[in-house]
Amino acid sequence: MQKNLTKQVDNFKEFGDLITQYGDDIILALIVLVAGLIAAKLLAKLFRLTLQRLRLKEAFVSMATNIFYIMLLLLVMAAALNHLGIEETLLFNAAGAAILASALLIILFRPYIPHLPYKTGNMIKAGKFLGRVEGVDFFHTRLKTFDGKTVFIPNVLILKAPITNYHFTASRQIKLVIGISYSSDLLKAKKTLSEILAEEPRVLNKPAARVYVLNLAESCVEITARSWAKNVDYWRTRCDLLEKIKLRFDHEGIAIAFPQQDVHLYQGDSGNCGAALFDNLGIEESRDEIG
Amino acid sequence: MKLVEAMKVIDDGWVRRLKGFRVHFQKRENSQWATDYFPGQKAQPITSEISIWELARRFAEATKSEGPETTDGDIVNIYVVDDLGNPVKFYATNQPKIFNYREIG
Repeated sequence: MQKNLTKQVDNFKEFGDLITQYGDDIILALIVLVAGLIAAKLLAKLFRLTLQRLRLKEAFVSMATNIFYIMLLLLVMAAALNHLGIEETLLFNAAGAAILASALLIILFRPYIPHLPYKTGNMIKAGKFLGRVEGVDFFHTRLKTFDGKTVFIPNVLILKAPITNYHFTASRQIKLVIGISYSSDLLKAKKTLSEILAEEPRVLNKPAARVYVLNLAESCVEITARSWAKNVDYWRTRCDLLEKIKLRFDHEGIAIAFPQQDVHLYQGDSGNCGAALFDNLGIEESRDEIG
Repeated sequence: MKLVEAMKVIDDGWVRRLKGFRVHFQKRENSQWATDYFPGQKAQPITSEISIWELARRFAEATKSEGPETTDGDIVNIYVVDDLGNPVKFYATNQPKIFNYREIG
């Protein structure tokens, strides 16, 4: 017991000696480290802003900023270690070896490393969120939606669910379904629709736009217009086409249908369905009216 | 006639795909009427027909002159043209439409 106590006292003494000998250096190293980390963070931010002002691609800006930040961290750590009397070359050698080993591992195992199917700047749809990827970190993907919201989606969820990445395809199909009334001129409607698609500058020539009768529905004849537009033009083109179709159809006398139901009342002396129905329901007054 | 040839005839006679739109107008300068466009003829035309008609309408409202007399700075005969400079019919009525119309001799 006493032996243990003596050992502990000796340890404290040794620690005290160390503090007395190197205390100033340790404190100085810590100050250098903290100040250096703050300065590195600020410098990296400044670096990012400068690159963004040059209107470079966001993916490049992120990569360059990260590299710059890592280099600054290495310098700060080297400076801190230098105050402790450790040679900075040791740190640089260790960092170099680590980077080399990581690069080698990544090259070898790249196909087996799970990665996100998009990059910064891509337009994606993840779950119910549609927007542009602003940034990706270890845990989250930062998505800017088109209504101005910033959504942080956990990468774990993204890896599990289907993702639509609009970056890989330059164009998208615009599907429009228009229901016209049964009494409207179907051929005239098809011709008008084809003309609207043909003259629209943002509709691509290939694949060619097509107009089909899609369905003979309950309240309308459904016509579909299938055309293609560049991703960037998709939304505005779709909206413009809908407006043009509505107004041109109005002008051409083609009625856009709305849900409706026809009610037929049968009347007669014998075998009168309507009268029988009223009898069953006990509605005398109504029978008088139609009789 | 081969199908390919027939398709070419059909395509040539079909509606031309427009490349964009400009707003045409005439401006009174030094007692003369000068024709101008926006976007200018060297700039890219606007690809949205809806937007260009909206711009033309707003331009007409903003430049509408009060009296019948002509003065320098008056802007008249505002309408939409295609990339070749041909007048475009108003998409809602499929008829020509001119804002701030004035007959110029």
